[in-house]
Amino acid sequence: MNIFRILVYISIIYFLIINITYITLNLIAFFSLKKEKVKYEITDLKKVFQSEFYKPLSIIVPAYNEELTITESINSMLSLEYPEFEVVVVNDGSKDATLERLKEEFDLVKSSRTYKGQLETEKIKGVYDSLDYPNLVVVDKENGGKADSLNAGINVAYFPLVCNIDADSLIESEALLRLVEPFVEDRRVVAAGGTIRIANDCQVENGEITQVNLAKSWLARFQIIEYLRAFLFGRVGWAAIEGLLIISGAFGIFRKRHLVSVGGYSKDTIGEDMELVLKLNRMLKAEGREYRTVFLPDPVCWTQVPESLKTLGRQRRRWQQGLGQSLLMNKELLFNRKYGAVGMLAYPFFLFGEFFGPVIELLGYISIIITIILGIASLELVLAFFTVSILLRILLSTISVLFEEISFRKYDKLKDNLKLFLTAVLESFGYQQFHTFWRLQGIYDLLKKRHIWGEQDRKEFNK
Amino acid sequence: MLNFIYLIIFILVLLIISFLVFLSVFHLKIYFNNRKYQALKEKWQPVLFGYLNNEISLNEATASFNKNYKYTWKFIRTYLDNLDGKDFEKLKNLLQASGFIQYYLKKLRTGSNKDKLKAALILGKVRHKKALPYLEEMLKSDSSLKIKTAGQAISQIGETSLVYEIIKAFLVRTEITYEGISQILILYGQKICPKLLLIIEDWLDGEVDIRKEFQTSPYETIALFVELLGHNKYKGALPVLERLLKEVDNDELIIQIFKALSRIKEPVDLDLTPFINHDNWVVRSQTVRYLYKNWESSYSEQLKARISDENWWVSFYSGMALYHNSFKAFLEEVAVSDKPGSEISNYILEAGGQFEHF
Repeated sequence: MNIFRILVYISIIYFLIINITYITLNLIAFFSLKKEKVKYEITDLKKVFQSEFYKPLSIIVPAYNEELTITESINSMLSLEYPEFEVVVVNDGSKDATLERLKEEFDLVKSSRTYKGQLETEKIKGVYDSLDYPNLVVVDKENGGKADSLNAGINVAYFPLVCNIDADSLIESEALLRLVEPFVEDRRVVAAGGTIRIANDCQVENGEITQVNLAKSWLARFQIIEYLRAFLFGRVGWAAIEGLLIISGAFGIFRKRHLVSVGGYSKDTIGEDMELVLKLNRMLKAEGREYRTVFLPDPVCWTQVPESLKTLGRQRRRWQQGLGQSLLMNKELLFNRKYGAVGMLAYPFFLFGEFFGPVIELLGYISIIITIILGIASLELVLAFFTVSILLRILLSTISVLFEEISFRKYDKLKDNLKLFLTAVLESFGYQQFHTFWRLQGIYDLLKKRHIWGEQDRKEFNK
Repeated sequence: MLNFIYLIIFILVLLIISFLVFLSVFHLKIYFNNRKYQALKEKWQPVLFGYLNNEISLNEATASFNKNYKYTWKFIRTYLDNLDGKDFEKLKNLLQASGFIQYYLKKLRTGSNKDKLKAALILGKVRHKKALPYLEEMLKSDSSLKIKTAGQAISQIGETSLVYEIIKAFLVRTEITYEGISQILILYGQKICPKLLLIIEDWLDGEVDIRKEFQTSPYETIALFVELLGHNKYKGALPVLERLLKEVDNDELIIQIFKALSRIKEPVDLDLTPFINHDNWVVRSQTVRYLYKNWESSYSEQLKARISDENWWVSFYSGMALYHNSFKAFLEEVAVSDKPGSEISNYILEAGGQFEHF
């Protein structure tokens, strides 16, 4: 009986620590967002175009079976507002007509571009230039996964800054200018991440989001809440205390020389984006270098999310597995004072809160049920405690909706905001439990070393 | 215990409901503000155009713009960025007469941090000299954002007496990169050049210790100044650049000097042979590029030799210089031979010496 009592106490303490951390992160994020908004208002992007003193940029777009969205995405990237950039599309041995679509749309011819194989990758079958767009390069290579494609792109890229963007994503026109700004403002910045927003049911014209609509599917809406929480208070909060552990693989900028010096993206994990940031932290600290990884809440990249439970479940299993792999591969960071907030706060939080979270949640459910059966605690007390936990979760989700409204306001209809608020309330009833289940599956996959493929069912953007 | 949990539940529910109310009220407030702005914009646009076309007097225009300054800023920002000459001066007069400038000058003096930053940006854009004492004060702040905003505003106003202070504040109290500093200092235009030349000369004469003053590498800082002189195509920089080439042995700086000389497009009174034959290929390529842009026939034989340089860029620029300066026949001769340099000669000849970006 004592064991169950101890388990209940552990669950309660765990619950308190996690929620206090979330509330603290929220407060930090609130002040950070306020500061960012002022900065956003007074930043004069026009000056970048008035001078030749900007940092040229290579955008790397890994593409695997993206025939439905690839031309729209690449057109969107080619129309971005930035003085000098190239788009390097890496076709990772797609089984569909991705390469053919690119050849037709952009008039591709064999390129004479030379490159150094600084990072090891699968064999490159060909490099193509576009007759229509001098700043477009297409690399056709044998299949090796996303990390391998990104590494091939880094090898071929000409410029000192490298931006990774998923092929199914759309970037807002000023997003690159805003995301490069920290590299100009602060010489210590080695990496910068932007926000990912959900494009399902948004109106797209010529590769640009012309009307932001709230997704019709409830599953997509639940993910909107998750993304708002993850980006508007999670990453903003962690970045504000120099504890950023992840820059999304879908939209981030890095200094190329650092990417090369850490050996590029790791092919041993499916969470290559997080692993890269952890690895960068380790390497740069070891070199004694003063550095910063930053997160900006406004430069936005829009992406489509799964609308079926099966695909979403598969994606979340992969994410959980990738999280575990990345943490394991960089375990020396754990409670290591040398790494500051990353080692002492962010890493332990991601390990105990994000990775082991579902296990502890499950143990909590089990022990509470047993506690009731054995009569250690009253049903009323347990139900009251459950209500608190659900309300806290709802509170955190509604705060992220509020943050969205008071900061960058992508949803301009009150109706959409109210629907989002309702989604934030409903998310805790059913969706969250599914999510916990998928994450548990992810942990199981990691233990069993099972590799789940994360192919997503693509659909064209709304026209 | 149970009562305590119920109290927490009550507080949480109350918080969630108040967030919902706040969200709705905030959204409606923004909605009505936007509507108000749209209405003002429709009213202001014809007034502004009429005023700029001399169809409406300053007094009449002022009557429309004499309040709602926050909306005025939103409305005129694009015009301030894009108008110049007489139109810019007219717009500035209108803003002065309407009380807009006074309003933001007061904000710069007594406003919150956010107000001060915004006011600095605005007064910089309208180039209002009375803002200078407050901007100078702002430059002394520890906040990187304040220093940057103040520096930018002073550069836009064009007050050259503060150039040294701006550079010092940027280099000592912020982490801003050289690109970032350049982006701001070019707002001065050519006005900044005499000041930069003075600092370079003082450094060459040993009167300024840049490492001590700016806490940064002297060569990198001088390279930044040289870059700005080149950007402004400042012909008056020639003697100082020549002196630097004679007295300083730093590859990065030499590279910047030749880049600047290529832009200034004036012949230098100096023997370039050591640079054409320099160990560092970037120095060689930039020197040869300078000669491509500023042809000097006395170097033609050295350029002919450089066409077979081990570095592609050096041979490319040598070939380009020769091609565009009556030595096309030489390239044709090399192209058909098996001599080193035949490949690059063919490449240039095939393109007819025309390449984008060069």
